Amino acid sequence: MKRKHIISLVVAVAFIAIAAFALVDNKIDYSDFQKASQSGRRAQVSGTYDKDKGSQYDVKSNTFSFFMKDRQGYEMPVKYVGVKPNNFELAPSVVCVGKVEGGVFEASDIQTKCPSRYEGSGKMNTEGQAANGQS
Amino acid sequence: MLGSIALALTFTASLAGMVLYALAARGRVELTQAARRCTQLALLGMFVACATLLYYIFNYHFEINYVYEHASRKLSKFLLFSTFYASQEGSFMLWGLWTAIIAVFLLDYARRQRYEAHVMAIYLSVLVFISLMLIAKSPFETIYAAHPGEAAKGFIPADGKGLNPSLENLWIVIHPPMLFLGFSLLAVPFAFALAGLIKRDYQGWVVTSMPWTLGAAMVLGFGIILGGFWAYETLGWGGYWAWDPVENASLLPWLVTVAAAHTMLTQKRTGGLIRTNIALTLLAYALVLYGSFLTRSGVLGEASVHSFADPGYLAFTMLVCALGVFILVPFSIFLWRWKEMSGFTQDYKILSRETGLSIASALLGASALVVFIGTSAPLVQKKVETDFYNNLHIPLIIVLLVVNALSLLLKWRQSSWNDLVKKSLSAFIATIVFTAAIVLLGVHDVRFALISASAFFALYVNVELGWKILRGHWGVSFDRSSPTSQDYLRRLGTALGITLILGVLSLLIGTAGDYNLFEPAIGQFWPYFAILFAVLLVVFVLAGYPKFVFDTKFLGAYVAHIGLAVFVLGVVASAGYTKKEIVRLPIRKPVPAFGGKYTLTFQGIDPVDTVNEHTYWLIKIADKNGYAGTARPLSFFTDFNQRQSPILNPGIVKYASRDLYFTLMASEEEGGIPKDTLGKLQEITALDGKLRLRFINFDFPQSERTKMMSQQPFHVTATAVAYTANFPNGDTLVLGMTQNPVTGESAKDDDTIPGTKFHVQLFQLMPDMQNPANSKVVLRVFDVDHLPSPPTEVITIEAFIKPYINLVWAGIITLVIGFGFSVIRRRREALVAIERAEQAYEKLLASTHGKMSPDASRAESQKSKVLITKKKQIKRA
Repeated sequence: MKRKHIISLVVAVAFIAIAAFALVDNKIDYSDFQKASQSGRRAQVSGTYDKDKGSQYDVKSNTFSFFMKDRQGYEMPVKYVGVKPNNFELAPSVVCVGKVEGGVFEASDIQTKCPSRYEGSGKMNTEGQAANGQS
Repeated sequence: MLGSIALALTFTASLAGMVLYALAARGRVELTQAARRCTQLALLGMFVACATLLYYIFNYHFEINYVYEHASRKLSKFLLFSTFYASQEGSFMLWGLWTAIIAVFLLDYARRQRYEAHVMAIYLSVLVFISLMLIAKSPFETIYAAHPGEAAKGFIPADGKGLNPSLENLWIVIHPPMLFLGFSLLAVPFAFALAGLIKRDYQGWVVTSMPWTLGAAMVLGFGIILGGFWAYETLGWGGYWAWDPVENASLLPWLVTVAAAHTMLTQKRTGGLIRTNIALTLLAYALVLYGSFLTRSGVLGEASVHSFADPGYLAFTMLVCALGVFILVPFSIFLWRWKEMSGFTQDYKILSRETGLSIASALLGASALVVFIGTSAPLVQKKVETDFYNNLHIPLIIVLLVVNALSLLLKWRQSSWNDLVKKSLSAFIATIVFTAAIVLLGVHDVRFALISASAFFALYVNVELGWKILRGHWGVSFDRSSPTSQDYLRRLGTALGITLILGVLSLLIGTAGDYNLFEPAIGQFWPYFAILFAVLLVVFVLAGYPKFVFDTKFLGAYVAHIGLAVFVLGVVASAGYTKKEIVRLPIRKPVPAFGGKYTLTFQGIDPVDTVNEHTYWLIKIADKNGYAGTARPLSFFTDFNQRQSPILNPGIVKYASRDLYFTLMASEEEGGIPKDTLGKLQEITALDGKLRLRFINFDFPQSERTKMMSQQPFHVTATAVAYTANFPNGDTLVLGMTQNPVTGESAKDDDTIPGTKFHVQLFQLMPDMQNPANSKVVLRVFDVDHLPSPPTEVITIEAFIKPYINLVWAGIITLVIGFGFSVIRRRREALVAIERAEQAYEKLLASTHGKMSPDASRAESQKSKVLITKKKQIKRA
């Protein structure tokens, strides 16, 4: 019985150690552009899409690029290999995962938050209101 | 109004039922009947509440905030039905409904297992929590109550916001209900474990709970894979699992439950692992609640695409409290009883099936731990890459599969190495041959080769052992007993049920849940299902119910493990060896793809639904044998994003050994008149050098900007200088364009350069607000006498070949069927166990007649105590 316990303990400790290594290796910090530029590590930055500067999709290289302003108000060009995500223009916030390379945030993943879904107390769609008026 | 009353009824009845049952558990047996009534009332309340919400949805009662937020007049009927559980409040309704329905079935089962009062008191506490949440965050809130100040009392919007476009797929009709049925079912083993703990019945509860544990694992597993299949068929990134926190939240309790099922099996044999089983079962339900907390409290925020936003302070607090209560109370009792919970244990050697089962559970637990850490990382402002999960699961799955195969070859209690080597020899040889074959075929990645080898090893052993049971012992006979009219009715129901389930599932798979295709498919295929129904009916009525001679009883584990191995092989093949290519397809021009293996032709579009602008993009596929199918990626517009950009669904063509998967990326015009982008003071030379054009500046006056801001058509101009043979010193042109910001359409003024037939158009303005000097324009220049050939439409697609992806689905379905077999077996065992215990009790009663207390309730509780002891003794014998 004793030996059985020792073996399982060793295996468990070894696994937890490996898991801890993997965690450190694969973790992504919630960050902003400035911190991400300094560290050079992969980070998750959330912010808003700068509509004034527009967005572009280049078919040949399959890259989608736009400017994003992070929560601190710092703006940076973002490049993403892939097409423009659904709901991009209307998303109140955009979340990008990637790292800064040469002044450009190279995103490997872009998520857009839907404007109203999953938000119980979101603003009402005023268009819907205007359509009918008082009844 | 009615809805809120019904919810209040559910809350009151389940609370009363819980209290009455708790009193009954403490000896007031006469209260049991009232408690049963309360349970039924709680179900009635849930039924009425759900029916009311559905009534509001189907009658477009947009004054109800929930209906306004999720339903819309444009939605098809099926999708309208699913708005019922599209969000926070509604999914609690679904959860509550299932919990209440299960309560009524559980009541009957628990009564027969002598567990009613304890189990129901605990189980109803779950319903108390859910109904309380529903009252706090009611789906029946009116729009004026939800948006005070924005909407006047009595206001009814003309239309609702509609469903999230990524949910506009028919799989939503069955995936969430299945998932929530799984969550609700997990409350049953939780209740049995806690009741067993309270009753000090540390052994009996395992037998009693086993069919529910397996049933919950079966349903939850099926629900999870339905979600994966749905993601694969609609989201377009080509995968079915992204380790998203919401997906993980459903996977966690499943992993722990499957781990518990394995150690419960050990306990049934040896009587050991008492603490492990109670802890795992309690933990599985705690993880259901933890998952709900993560996904519903808003804490995940940005970590997940489909997490709910902050539900408000009250709901958040309630979620935290529920989590606290359902974890702290059971585990406190657990720790309280810690010392007591060591009973008689049958010892087993290291080389035994018991050890194998324990290792399997430990591996599943390790997997759950990995998923738990990754999923919880957002709580501390972190996130993990999917590689974290993938890399850690590679060693886990390899060991798991090898241990699975070996432990099935081991005997219970003890085995010898010689015996193991002898039995596993053929499997070893077969695995070596298989591995050599796949390495020769191109599997050069060591990880993939090892996973495939271990999966094949497990597959071989399970098929071998399963076949041994099946061989020579299978066939079909028919139940020849003369049926009553009730039997006929039941047979009619079975035939109808089988037809409907097969019909709906096959149509959903065939149409990828696309509702444009679903209704026509019903029209096209209903005769086949009618024939199936008729055949089933004729067989059932004339010959009786078929009785399968093979004993599904012992096959469950093998079938489930075969499913797991097949699933793993499918995952390796499809995830490791998917080929991807970006292909540009000019209309009606065959383009070779994947090194000439396929030829793809974009044939044009098929606008199926003009209201929602659903459009199929037809891509004809040809292989070396000719025509091989047509893929139909879909694009559609939705009010949900104010029709700004299309929503894209992939087009998939399935073959037995692979899927071809196409995602639309862009559609544009190629050729025609060239466009040139120019910065300020930049020049181009066009029309074979006959024209030089310099862009000076553009004019976008404030008055026009105001129009643009208020979504009205606006006019802009650009100044350019054209140098031609007639005007070598340049001729200044003012080019104009009117743009409609709502439709995106623009009307270009056409400017002819004097003395030539050259035309210049301002095509697009690209202003840079921060640095006006960087602004650019797009111009088009053409010669009327020498117009280039007309433009052609070109689409860009991402094309995937996904080898053996069907093994993924087939594997999981097989796994689920295996669980189903085991449920049947363990349910029978539980019923037999209690029956034997009852008989033993009757004997005991006869021998000690008169000695018992005359008080009926005392006798009853005495009886259940004796029964439990009996059950234990019988099991051990």
